[in-house]
Amino acid sequence: MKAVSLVAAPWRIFRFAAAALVQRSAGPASLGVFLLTLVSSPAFACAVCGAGENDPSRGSYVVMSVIISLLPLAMLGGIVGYVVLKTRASEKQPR
Amino acid sequence: MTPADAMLPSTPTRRPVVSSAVLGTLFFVVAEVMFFSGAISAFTIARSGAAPGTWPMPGQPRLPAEATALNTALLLLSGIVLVIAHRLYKKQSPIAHWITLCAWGLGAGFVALQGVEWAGLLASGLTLTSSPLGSFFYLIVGAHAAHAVVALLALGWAWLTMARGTLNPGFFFGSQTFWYFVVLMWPVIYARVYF
Repeated sequence: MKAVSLVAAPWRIFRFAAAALVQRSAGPASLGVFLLTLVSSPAFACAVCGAGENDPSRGSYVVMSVIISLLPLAMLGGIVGYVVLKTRASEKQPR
Repeated sequence: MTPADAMLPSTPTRRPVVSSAVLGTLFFVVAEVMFFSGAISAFTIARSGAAPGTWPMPGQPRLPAEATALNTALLLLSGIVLVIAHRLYKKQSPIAHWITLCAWGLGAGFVALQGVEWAGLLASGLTLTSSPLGSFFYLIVGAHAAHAVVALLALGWAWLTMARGTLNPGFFFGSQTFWYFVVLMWPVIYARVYF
């Protein structure tokens, strides 16, 4: 019974995301893909053992992966924002 | 202007909104931030996976977090003084180069005190190969110190040319950008590695 619900929940979210993608609604599609990442199970290097499941460094891996993934985007976004602000300020100044 | 010139469409004057030196330094800083992020990430994961009581390893000295607070204060003060120097330079103040020299002196003080700290740690047995903490410490803090030295060389040159009246503003702003990176990167390293 539990196995059925474990399969059904991701399947429902996948259908929701797929439908949103077909309808070209970016918000619900992004939400669906994000929810799919939450319900996914951890993948271990060894397929038949879960030795890494209780590894104390697992939380650090997740947190640092998130930080390192988002940091370049944030920095490049910051540079673009800085250039945009400087451009707007320059346009307001008399030539 | 000849009548033929007057008939040509006038080309609008283009002013760069951000100097090439600042933009180039910013992109370089992005790459350097990712380098430090990778090193700090590896440090965090190694530390969280260490067995209880093995970080630092028995017999190894603990990092002097309290003494380094003074270095941190010097570096942060140096960043603030450089912001003041930048504003004075924009206003063409005659004391701008002296304030820049103050910022440089505070930064040099930070590097010198770090050197003293390293000498003490090496004497107490914390070396690059003595423990994982030693390896990470000298890699991360050493890389930061190398960046600080390069930024100090650039700022020193900016001060010298400013005093002579031959300063290229783009070089000064680029050096400042790099120094702000050195200043702002340090509290992250200090909080992560020393505690």
